[in-house]
Amino acid sequence: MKNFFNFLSSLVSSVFLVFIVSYPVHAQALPVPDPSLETLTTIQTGNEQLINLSYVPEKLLPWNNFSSNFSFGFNSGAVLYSELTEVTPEHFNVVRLTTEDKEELLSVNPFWSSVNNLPTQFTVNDEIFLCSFDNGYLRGNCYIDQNGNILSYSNTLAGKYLNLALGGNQVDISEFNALFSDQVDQILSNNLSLYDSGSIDVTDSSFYYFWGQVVGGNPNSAGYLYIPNQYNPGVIVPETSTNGSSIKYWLCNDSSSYVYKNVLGNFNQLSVTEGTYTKNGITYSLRIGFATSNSGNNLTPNNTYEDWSNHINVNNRCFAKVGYFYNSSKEYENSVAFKPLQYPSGSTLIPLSGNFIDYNKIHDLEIALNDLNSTLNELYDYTQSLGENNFPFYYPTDETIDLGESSLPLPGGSSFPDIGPQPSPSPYLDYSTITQPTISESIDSFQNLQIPFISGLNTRYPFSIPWDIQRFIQRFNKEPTPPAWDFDWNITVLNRTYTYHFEGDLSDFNGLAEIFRNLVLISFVIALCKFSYDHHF
Amino acid sequence: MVNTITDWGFRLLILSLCLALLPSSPFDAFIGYVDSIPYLSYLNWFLPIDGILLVMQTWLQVVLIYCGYMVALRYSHALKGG
Repeated sequence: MKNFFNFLSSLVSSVFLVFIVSYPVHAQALPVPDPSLETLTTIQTGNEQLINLSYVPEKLLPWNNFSSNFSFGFNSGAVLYSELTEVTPEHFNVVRLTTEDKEELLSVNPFWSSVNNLPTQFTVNDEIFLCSFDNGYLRGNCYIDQNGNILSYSNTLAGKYLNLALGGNQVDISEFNALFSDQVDQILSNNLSLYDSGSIDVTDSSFYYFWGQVVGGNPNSAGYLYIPNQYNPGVIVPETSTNGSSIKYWLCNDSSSYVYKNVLGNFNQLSVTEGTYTKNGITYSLRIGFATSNSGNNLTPNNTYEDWSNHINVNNRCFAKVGYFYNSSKEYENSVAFKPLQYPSGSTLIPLSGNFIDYNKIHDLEIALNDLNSTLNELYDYTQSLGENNFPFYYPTDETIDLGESSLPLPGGSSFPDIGPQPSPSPYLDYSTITQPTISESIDSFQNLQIPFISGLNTRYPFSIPWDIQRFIQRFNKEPTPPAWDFDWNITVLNRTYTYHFEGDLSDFNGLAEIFRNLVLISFVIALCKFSYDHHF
Repeated sequence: MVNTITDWGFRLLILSLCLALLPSSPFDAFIGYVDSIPYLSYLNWFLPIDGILLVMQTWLQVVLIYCGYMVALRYSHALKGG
């Protein structure tokens, strides 16, 4: 009996120890990823694998992430950042949105009223994406498949858009491409080639391409403009006149402004939203260029947004916000302050083992690795400061160390003796072949670390029951979504059918819901304390 | 002391061998079924399930540590008494 008790107690203690060791540590803090660690992560939900960005739980990114990497421009050239000083971090809200097709899209939503319709851009997998803000909302075109690959983004206007104004529904815009393709002849006549696919082929690199969306009249019409190379991108935009005197602009589409075609100064209500274009590995992005009007009130490129914002008059005083594609290669990077936000490439995706993402574990591990790295760097700096006496640390370096003249006579005269051919392969360590694993790789190896005993305990029945319960409960944790309903209720009375339409959306009460959730959580904690006290825990 | 460590190691070895013979969890399919339950995101909008889970997990660990401590204490007393 005593042996049985010993065995039973040791068994319970073993299970307890293993449970504690293998149990993820959640007790530290709410998962708040480090904003400096933006990376793509993979989340598994059931049988579907979704991609989202690791700062999903983080609603706000520091302004530092934007100020040095994002470029906003009301104009071009030196006045690009003229109003950035007014922007504070709370003006931006980086959120993840899931479309109806479970596609993940990123949106960067500005809460800055005066930046409406301003395009901005970000980079995912070394691809540059452009977003525009439509009446305060963003229509992003970041479209990522289940494997983290970029499926498509907006070449010209076609692509998948996310319209927050429509409740986050995805909008597939394709008619712009059709319009584009319809105007092959016109574009060809102006040194632009257009393939059937609707993409632009730059036959003359001296051209910079514009495009614009014609609003008013037929809102679905789109216009494409190009401008010859006497236009100096990124420096100044030439002032246009109503008669299009100095530089000839072309409006290459058949739209409501058809009668004004070829005379840009007389076009009717042209506005530009956004667009990107990649050709031969070079990505061109759109930026607000200048504004003009056909009402005789010409606006110079140096006019700010506010200057021409009063010219939004559909019928009389037309305005144009013209953007342009410009070369975003490095040669223009400094001149136009184009420094898109850099994300790791797809190869650095963090594979997450298991069904759940443990942000704490990743976060803590990354912090630990960063701390370790910084510690090693400090140690290295310290050893370097010691000069020659940097024993025992050795770091391979490309620098040649001059030991000076040796006072000891060399054996065999003034030269070293011939020691014969060097063995091949070299028995010495080749430092050039040593690659330091990245943080992501380290996390990968950590995630894949399988201890047979522990992994068997949480998957083998009946010992898996505690983990089964844990997994079961955690499945109830979903992204909070405000209830919305839209359905018809048909009632047939005396052979007549009455249809009642029910439609509602509680998203207006998000603030109240958050308060309610916090109250529930506080109540839960109090109840848990009372339960623990009553049961002498 | 050595015998104790060896004894524990042997028990863990036996336990791991026994685990290898056990079947896998039969509840995986049922757990996956939870994902197909509609309106869970709506429920999360009303109730802070993520926060409750966090608190519960923390509480569970604390209680388990306490229980383990009590078992260890009782076991040590039993050894002293025996």
